[in-house]
Amino acid sequence: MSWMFRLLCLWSVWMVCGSGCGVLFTEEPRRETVLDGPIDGLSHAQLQTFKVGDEEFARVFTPATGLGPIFVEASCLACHTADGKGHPSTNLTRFGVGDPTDAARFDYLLHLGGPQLQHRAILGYQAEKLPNLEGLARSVRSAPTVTGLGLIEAIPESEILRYADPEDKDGDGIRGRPNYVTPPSFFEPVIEHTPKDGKIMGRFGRKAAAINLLQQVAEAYLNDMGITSDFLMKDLHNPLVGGPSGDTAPDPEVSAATVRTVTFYMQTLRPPSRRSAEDPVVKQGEGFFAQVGCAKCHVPSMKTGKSAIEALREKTVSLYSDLLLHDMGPKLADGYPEGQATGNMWRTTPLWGLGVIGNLMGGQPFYLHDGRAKTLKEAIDEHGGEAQKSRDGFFALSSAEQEALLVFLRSL
Amino acid sequence: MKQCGRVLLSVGWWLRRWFGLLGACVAFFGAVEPVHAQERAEYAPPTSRPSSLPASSQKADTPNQKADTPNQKADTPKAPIFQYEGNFGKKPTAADTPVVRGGIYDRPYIGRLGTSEALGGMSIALGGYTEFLGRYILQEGLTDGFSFEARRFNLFVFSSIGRFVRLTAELEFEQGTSSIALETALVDFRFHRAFVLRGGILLPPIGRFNIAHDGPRYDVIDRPLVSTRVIPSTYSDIGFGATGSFFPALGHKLYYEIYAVNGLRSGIINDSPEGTRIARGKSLAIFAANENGSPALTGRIAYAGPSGLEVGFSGYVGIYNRYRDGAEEIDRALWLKIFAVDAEISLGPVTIRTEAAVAWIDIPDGLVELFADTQWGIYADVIWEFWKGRLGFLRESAFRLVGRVDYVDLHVGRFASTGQDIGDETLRLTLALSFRPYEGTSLRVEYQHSWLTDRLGNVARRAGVQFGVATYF
Repeated sequence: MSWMFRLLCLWSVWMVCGSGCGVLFTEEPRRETVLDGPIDGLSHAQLQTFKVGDEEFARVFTPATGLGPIFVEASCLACHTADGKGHPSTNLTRFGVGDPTDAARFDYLLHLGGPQLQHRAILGYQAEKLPNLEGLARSVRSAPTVTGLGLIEAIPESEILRYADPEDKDGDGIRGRPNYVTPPSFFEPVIEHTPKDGKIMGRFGRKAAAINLLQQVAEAYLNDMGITSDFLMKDLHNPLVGGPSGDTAPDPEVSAATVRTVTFYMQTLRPPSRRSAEDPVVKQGEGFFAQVGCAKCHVPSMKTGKSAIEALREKTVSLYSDLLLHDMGPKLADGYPEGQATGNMWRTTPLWGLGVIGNLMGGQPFYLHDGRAKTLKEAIDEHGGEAQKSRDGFFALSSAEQEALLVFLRSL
Repeated sequence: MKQCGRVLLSVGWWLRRWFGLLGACVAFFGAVEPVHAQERAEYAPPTSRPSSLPASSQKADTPNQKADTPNQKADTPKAPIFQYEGNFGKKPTAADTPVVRGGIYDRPYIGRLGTSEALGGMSIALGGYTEFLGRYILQEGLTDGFSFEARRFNLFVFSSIGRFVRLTAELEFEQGTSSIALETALVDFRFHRAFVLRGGILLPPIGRFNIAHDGPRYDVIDRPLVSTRVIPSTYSDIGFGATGSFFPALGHKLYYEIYAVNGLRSGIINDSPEGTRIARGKSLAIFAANENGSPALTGRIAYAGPSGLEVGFSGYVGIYNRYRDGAEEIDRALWLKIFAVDAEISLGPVTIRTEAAVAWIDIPDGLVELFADTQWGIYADVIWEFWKGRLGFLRESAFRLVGRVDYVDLHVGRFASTGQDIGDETLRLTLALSFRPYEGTSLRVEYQHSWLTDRLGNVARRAGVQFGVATYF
């Protein structure tokens, strides 16, 4: 037996020396392959708040801590896995009936559980189901990537409006429109806003219906997890069961401080890092990206203005979006209006992090607002409306040119 | 009054009849059971009665004992004490209670059973075990550094109350005093070794690890994943039932345990942030009342044979939610079913030990896909005792090398939206070196490497080194 033991010892030593600590004791993933982590330049106090926000973002709620009684997911992290894009299994559904071109003439079916379906319920309660109505519009949406949102929030309205062209004055067929929405009662401005008819320009959410991150976070707590906060105190319930609530956790289920801390966490999440940005093929692909007109909506960069957080101030933001609404054609239409966004319109999705999201979905990425496309080519193919010309331009490229453009997209 | 009397008479007649039948069965088993030297040796207490006990205790001359156990005097000098004859006329002891290898009656302290004047002449044994460790673990290259943990300090009490009655209890302190729990407090009524009535706080026999989980028994520090995630070890519950053993042939033994218990609770889902977690169904409230009025059933049947072979099949069936309030049905009854298989065999210096379990959980419509309705897992230990003998003043020391493979899939199923496999799996490999200066003491160091797959299939690696001590006392 002794020779076997010696052999085993030798093998162990070889394993340690030969393969290195990384194999035996794991190694940290490279920064450019993941999305999480704080933005550079935060102070120690800001990093502490970031850390607390990170923990709250990952916190999974239970009925005892206020989950539900109806909900979509039990934590922020469940939808935004590793701060990335939501997997189709965590998609949420909004619904209603009426005129898809005019939110004022659209019924959000509040008496039947609208505007958002909470298809899950805590033990002993009844989850919502979509009403069986003729002409019901369903908007199925994946959670967007949450990195770099603080930078997006810090972009002045004037910077975004530079790319707006609702009348298509330049005749290129691209009509970027801002979405002016009614601010919630708890709205607190973080940048200067120029209201229009009492409405403020939105920039977050698939249809730019949320003005800032505080609104986005407070509404997600309530509508996605059934968690009341100091900002939104009235709990959800299934109207078919009756009100007002089926959970016994005292309201608010999270404090204003928690919502603000999570908001700060999202504001200070770093933007995705580029990979191989200097690669000649990537550079070539970037050229084709501009050539076929993708960059008209997926604007490569904008600049932030003033911000209470120094690390967000006066920064160039390579988000590849104009944060405006565009008619994306019938294939992507959901028939669900929000503010000034019609049933055909979507806010241009920032493309940063596009090459990483697959790493956070078990290797299989799912693109577009509902995760319907498994490849970038499929995603491009779905583009229509104002993007039809660019889509056609892409498919008119040679295979090598197309591949170069895709390599560029994967480098974002 | 007349009617009452008639009813009583009738009940008495039935009781007599059934007790008569029970008596006949007992007499049958008593008559047919062979006496095997092998079983005696196998289930013998590890140490004989310590000679350091006061002489008075060995004489067993306290009034208490005289009243309780008439032939105590005759039995007391024998060491170790065996009562496998199954003769009702003799005093039963711990050793003749049906034991599971490594279970509550297979602990070194039982061998120190004696009477103590300090304890008023009670026949009692005290013991326990402790385990503590240090660890350095990294996940995806990140670590919180080095850490020590006072994992467990458990106290055992065993008492022979009378001829047929035994009590055993275990008080557990985890992480110092951060968790204190009465893990076991049961009373056995030993009618026969084939039929022992058991009641109290007991360990439901789901798999073997739950009923034989003492740290010093094992050479790997962490408990098997299947035995803590799919089977919620250590799971104690309050209930009643029966246990016993049979000897169908020389060197072969069958034993069984079957109990009705209060059962696991809705925490399986309600207190389970990460998805279905059966261990979250444990609750201190289990010991006070049944949440839904429907007891759960749990049992194990096992065969033990030559070469240390033991194979067991076990299960658990119960409703875990509060589906009724009084007579009112307020929800659909949600069932939890667990089936487990365990085995162990020794081949020369190598022992192989394994346990596998599968759980089926009813999930309400509103939580489908978020919570798993099926889970399963398996572990296997290969223990190689490559050196055993005298080491200086240590007469019976041993070195063991252990390899363990652990795997659990806590969410068997596919996403309806994409058809992809739902992850929530863990694969863990452990390589441990254990030095045993004494049989009941283990100093071990181990390296472990885990692959943790989340729901979406993202894999994170976790690895590190642990070392620790576990010992019976």
